[in-house]
Amino acid sequence: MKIYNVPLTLVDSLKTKEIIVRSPTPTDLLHYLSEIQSDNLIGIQLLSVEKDNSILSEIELSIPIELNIDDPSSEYSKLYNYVELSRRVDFKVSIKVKPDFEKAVKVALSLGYQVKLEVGQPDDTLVNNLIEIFKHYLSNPTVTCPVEFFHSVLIAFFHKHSTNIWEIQDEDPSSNIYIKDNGQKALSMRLNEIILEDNVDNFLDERRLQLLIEQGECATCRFFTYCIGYFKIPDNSYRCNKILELFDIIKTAADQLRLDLQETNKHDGAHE
Amino acid sequence: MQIRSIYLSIKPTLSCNAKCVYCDTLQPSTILPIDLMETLFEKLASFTKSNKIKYVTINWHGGEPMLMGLKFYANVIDLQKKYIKNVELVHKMQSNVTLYKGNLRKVLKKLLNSRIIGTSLDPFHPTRSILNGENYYIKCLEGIYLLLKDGFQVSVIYVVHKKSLKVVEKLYYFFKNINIHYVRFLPLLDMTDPQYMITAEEWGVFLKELYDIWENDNFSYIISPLFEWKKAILENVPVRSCESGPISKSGLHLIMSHDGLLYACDRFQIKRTHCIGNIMQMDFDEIINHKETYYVYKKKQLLPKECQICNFSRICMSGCAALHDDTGKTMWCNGIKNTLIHLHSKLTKFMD
Ligand code: SF4
Ligand code: SF4
Repeated sequence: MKIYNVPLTLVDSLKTKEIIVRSPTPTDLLHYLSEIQSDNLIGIQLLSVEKDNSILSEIELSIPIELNIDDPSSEYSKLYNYVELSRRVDFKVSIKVKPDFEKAVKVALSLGYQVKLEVGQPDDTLVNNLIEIFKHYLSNPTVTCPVEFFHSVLIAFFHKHSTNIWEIQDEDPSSNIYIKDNGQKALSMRLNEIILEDNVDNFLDERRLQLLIEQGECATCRFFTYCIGYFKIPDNSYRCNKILELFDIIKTAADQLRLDLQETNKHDGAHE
Repeated sequence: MQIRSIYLSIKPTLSCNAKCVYCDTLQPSTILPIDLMETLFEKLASFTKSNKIKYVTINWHGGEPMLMGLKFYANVIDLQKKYIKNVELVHKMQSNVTLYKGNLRKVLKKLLNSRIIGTSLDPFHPTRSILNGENYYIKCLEGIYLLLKDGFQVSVIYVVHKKSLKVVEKLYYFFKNINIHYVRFLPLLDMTDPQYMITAEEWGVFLKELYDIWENDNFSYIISPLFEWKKAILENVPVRSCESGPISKSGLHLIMSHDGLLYACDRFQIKRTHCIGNIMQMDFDEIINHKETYYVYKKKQLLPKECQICNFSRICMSGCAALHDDTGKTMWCNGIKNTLIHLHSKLTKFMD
């Protein structure tokens, strides 16, 4: 099943597909939503954070809403305005990893929102903050909601599953297609300069092959199975040494969790 | 002894489209004639029928077996239909996979019903090249990509040489990242060039470092021979391979070269020793009664003294019979022993 992320204005042309509709403001959403008759509407993406979003209370919704935070340093305080909405619907905030993103993540988590990190190609300082946030997510007992991509990567390391960040971040074109405002198919909102060909199901396999042929950092990377060069786009010369540090920390945490669980099971077994 | 299965490795040509620094396979273009293949199938059909043998595996090997082209393999499929009934005949292949494309790809998809193929690759050193100047590394990776797309389980043989000792971790992750089924590490043989040659001790150093990397990666894919050795230690079971471990007489194991000559082991074919005879002049009843057919089996029944008292004989069994030195042990004894000592000490924590 493929999910299409479409602008409000193009919903009509894709209404037979499973769609996530994105809207610049809650007002636009309200305006169009009455016209959208699609049973295949599976989610809503709000592209801006509003001071006053009371208009959203007029909408009867049973589908998930994702709110984009593009500029965390100016927008994190507005997250308090979504408490009411988050109680009514499956609510997630997608936070761009830019300066002060960690403040936005902490506020979101304290309010019980699910978080998705739009990670991109972070510099060393931002990766240090990602590490700090991962530790906060892992060890703070008040955090009850998942922070993606941390959560799925941790689970994958724990169960030794194969999953990858493209899939976790909804950027694998075999399952998610981003439709630009002009109707072109692109890889994702973040990578909307990368226009997709018609046959996109082999995108990740072809990427894997290409990275191995290039014999760059990815070919022998210990996290390649989970990453498949995610951090090498758009700038292929991005160096991953700090990202590898983050992956190592997540992996160590997963290994430790597994050991703890084994110990607990052993202990329980001894008492049966 | 009742034969229950037959494993036949056929080398339909000894020619190759590639050249590896440690291989002298470049032979004049000798190919297996299709009528020889027909005789083989005829004899195989009669022997499997009278002995109620249900399982036959053919492993296409070479030289480069894909050089035989699609017409040859299409004929093999027809001959199999004509002669082989009531037997599960499974085809596998060992190839450099650089020719896996186009119509040949279609025929091989039909023939290789096991969906198992093995190849070989050296990602970091220029030990392999294609004779027409194409890049072996790229062509082999493209072949692997198409095979994975076609649902094959791909395994890779990596020949460990002196330069490999500096890139153990890179090798481990590179092969993991290709997404193959398993990788088999084999020490380089028959080469005296000091740039590449390795000693038994160095083989052990390589394997020990590889093991530590593998353990640190939660044993996340299959690497041979460490996988078999780990299993043997943890589960206290023997390794099932002709190389390191006991073998059974109930499985008939033969290598046939393009001219119909039969051997019990690939390395005997390469050295052209211990030849059993020619399929054109022998039937399978003669083959199973020939003294060379069970040469490897007999060697494993009579281990030298040092192996008999060795703590690891259950796992190593004196190693590959074709590589025994004057003492009757494998030439890699020291490396194997050092590695097994290392594995044993590391694996004790998993044993209770
Ligand atoms: S972490 Fe970096 S080097 Fe490793 S696979 Fe991802 S992009 Fe490549
Ligand atoms: S490790 Fe050496 S001594 Fe032990 S069984 Fe193998 S060849 Fe014989």
